[in-house]
Amino acid sequence: MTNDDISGLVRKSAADLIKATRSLGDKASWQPLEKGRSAANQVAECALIASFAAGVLATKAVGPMDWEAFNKACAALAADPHAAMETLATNTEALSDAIGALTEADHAATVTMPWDEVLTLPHVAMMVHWNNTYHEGQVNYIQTLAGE
Amino acid sequence: MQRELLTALIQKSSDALAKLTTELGEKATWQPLDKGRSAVDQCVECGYLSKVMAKALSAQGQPEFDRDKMNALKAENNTPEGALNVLAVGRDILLTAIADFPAESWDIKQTLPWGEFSFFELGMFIYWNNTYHEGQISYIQTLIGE
Repeated sequence: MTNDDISGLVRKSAADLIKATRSLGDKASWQPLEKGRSAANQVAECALIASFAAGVLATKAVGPMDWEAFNKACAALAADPHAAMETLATNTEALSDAIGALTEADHAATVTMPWDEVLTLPHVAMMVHWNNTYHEGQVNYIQTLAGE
Repeated sequence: MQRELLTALIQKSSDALAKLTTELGEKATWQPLDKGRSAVDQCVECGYLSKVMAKALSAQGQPEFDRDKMNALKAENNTPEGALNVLAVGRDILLTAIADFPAESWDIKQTLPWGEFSFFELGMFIYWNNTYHEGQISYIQTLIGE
């Protein structure tokens, strides 16, 4: 896959997630059965993951991951669903730029993720596509539960 | 390149769906708040669409989706075992079609009602669909509290 292919998939997945969340309106912060994560929380996670991935692609290295800080940042961003969506859009643009800067040699370079999985740099970008798509499914499920 | 990528993605995403549905056990037929689709229902859809896409690749033609056929398949396989079987059969047929697909034809485009797509993109649609439903089935698991 070319940089443009990967970038296109990542951008579309983020745009679809934002669209699904926006269509929830006030229910973007709703937690079904008080157990499910809200759409806003998921968008915030996706925004931060996109930023993390952009950093990995730019530096070709993975720093230590502070999950407690990550979860706190996620909760803070989720408090304002509109800000979370804006941040996802902005961070996706930054990730898209980082994907566009990958050279042919970079496509074969690998990094070890915080969960000990070894991925090529294009796979790091495709992980963001996977994460956005996974959460788009969840956000649309919330919409079904909301009966809208 | 396309063949290897699609094979890996379809296998991985299908395995993830099967694992989550198996873990749900009897709850795989549960419909949260009587509104959400069950895991079983979603697995059958993913298996059916894999089969539809396999036929399109084998014929180098358009995917022929038949909602009535899919709904009949859902009615016949409304158990975890039945749904997992439909998913596995669909996955295997699709992986065979991907393996047999000529390398030079992946970029050939088909015109569908919602746009033009290459055969590679049609294959990627199944990966997208599996991942989307992986998210939904995982969400059901969260609602159960497991």
